[in-house]
Amino acid sequence: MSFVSLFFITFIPFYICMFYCIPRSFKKPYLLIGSTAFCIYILQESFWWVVLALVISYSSCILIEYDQKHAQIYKNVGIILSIALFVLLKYSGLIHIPLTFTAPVGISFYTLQILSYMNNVYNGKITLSGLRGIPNYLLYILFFPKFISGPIESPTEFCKQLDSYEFRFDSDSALKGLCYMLWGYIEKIVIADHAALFVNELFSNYTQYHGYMLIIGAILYAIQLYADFDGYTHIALGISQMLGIHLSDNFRQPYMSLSVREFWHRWHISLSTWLKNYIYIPLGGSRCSILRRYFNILMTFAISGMWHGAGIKYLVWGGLHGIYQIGEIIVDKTITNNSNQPKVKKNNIAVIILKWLITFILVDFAWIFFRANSFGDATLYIRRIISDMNLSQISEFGIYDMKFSSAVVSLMLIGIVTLIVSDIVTYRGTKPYNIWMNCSSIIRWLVCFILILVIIIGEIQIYGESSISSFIYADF
Amino acid sequence: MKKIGKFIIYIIMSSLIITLLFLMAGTNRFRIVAAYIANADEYTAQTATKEIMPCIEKVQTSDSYTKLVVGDSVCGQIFNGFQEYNEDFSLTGSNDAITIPGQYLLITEFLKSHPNATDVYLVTRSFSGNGFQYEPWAYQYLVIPFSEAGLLQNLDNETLNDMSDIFGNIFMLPRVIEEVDHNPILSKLYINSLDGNSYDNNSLTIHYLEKLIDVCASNGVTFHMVHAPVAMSAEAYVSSERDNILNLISGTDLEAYVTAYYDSTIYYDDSAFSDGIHFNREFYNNEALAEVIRDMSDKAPELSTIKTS
Repeated sequence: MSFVSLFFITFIPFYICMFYCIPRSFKKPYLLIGSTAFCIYILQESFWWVVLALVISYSSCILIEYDQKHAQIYKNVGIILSIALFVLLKYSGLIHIPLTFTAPVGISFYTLQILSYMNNVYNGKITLSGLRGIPNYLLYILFFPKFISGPIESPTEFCKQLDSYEFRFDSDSALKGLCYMLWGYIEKIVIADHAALFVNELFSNYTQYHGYMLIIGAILYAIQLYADFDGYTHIALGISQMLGIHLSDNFRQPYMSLSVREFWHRWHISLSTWLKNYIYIPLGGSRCSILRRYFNILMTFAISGMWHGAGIKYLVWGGLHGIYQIGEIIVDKTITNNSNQPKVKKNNIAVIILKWLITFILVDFAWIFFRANSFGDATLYIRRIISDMNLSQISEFGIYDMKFSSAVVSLMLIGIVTLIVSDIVTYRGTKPYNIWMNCSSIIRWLVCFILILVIIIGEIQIYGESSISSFIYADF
Repeated sequence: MKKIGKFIIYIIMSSLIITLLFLMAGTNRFRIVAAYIANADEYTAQTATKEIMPCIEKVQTSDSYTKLVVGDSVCGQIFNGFQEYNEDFSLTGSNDAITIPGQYLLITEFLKSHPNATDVYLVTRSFSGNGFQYEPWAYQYLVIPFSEAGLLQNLDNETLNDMSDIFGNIFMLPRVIEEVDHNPILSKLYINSLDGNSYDNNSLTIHYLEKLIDVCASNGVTFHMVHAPVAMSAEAYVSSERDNILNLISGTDLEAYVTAYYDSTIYYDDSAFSDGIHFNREFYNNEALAEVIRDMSDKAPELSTIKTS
């Protein structure tokens, strides 16, 4: 049951309506029961692995709270056991352990949340009060809008919401939530799933296409991945909003970044925040020697790569981002130290465009490794781009000439342009939601109706395509 | 509450408009445009209906034919092109996807409109074919055309109940079937929602073959089962299928027919087939196909009277 399944879309309005009909004292248990049922449904037998992880971590938390003298030991044991379980389930193939079980969906996400929860209990930021902390803990981990692919919420902030929230219906909040969901479905169905048709074709059959088409494939993948994950996040935010719980946004127009460092402040923000707080800073962060700093950056991004998947290509992807950031630090230092260079204004439009272009090229180059079926395939894909850049063919063959109908291409391009415009508008400080709210009610309803119609048309266009999968980050 | 009321009214109105647009997609005026927008162009062709309806109309037309040849697409490939030379034989090969119940309907309609009929030949490359197991084909080739011809209710209640379980009660209603056929969007959504199942096609085939034998006997018509030519690489499969089927029908009236069916099997080199099933381009001419019929007649002499020129 994914967010785009018909069952989920028809079920969620009833669930939310019921939430506001039941007495206040039953609302938290209702959320917990719904979340647990959702997790059991999607995980089936592998839900027991989640239960095991929860038992290990909560036991550690209780021991940390009751035996302060040995709290560090309990914390470390809890962390080691949780990571060991994560490694065993996720990387059993890589470390040649024959397991008949598959890793539970969402394991990468809930494991990080378990680790940060234990850390927060150790630091005294969360008080369990024995077994009375179980409902909040379970809801923090299992809360269904964010279970599969995040956002990776701060446990203190989330639990604070659960303790203080009054669960009263707020029409403005509900409307905002609906808008989030609507936009999320546009991103997922109209942009990501449509782009996936072309990306899958180009990456699977790259030997049959010229280099410029493969560049288009790489660019489309960058858009697909962003729209897919941002779409998921918006749907999760929207559902949570309607249930009165605020989740953090995971993306801030990442492809508007002017440096790779800035990119990681805008892309998968909850993960990069977690990595900074629990890997980079404990390693020493930037408050150490320059070489140590470089090591910390590389280690953090290598872990990020491995977190995404068990394979050399993920390690290469993470390593590339580490190298990019080290390169930026070196370039910045060089420019700062070289006072003889003529000063170029920071807001020089040519400089901005150049920075943006370089950043996008670097990020997209790394995405090739992320998307390709293997490291070997990625290198062959790149080699073909370089060796077969037959620009004379551009006028004769483009994405409209691929096997997909022009209606599919056109809708995808309209969706992409809308996403770009939305991101530019937001980047410049205005939220499209606020623009929409300031329109007359007729315009607002009309826009909503058009968006719903576009989602339906988009879904029908790709219905039955076997190459379309559920959300990409559900695989991590 | 006012806001919630407005919201509910909005949802209802939007749903009505979208439903209206959806239904308009099935009208002749908007079909093509709707199919283009929804990337459902291939669902405007009504390929299955256009392929099977002429077969139904042909068997229902009263004419001078006294012998009927029906079967799957291989049967059609071999025989249909020789119709102009034959006044006795109605050469009406169609598609394996109409299933044996579909062949049963074609044969019974022929017998109704041809009281002087003497022989019926069923020519197939597989005893049961895909039957009801591959749902998209069964729905498009059996349910839609035979429903539109008003013949589906001539099947047994048990078969119709099974089909309702497989396809859904609502999608067995004549009005809905017609809408699925004409509305490219509904067709795309429904056909792509169908999957496969583990339906017992052999039991279905055996049941309708027994009915065919009875119907033919009661009309004084001789029923023949002939195996279509197959590739040599399929010999082991045919042999295995033969053993399995003969085991199932051992001691019944069907045994003689099925034994003759498998005994009539002829094999060609794999290179003669384009996809392992249908003959390749080299056979796209009357001379080559006439040769095939002659080869088949060696084991099924009753086919030797079909004229090929």
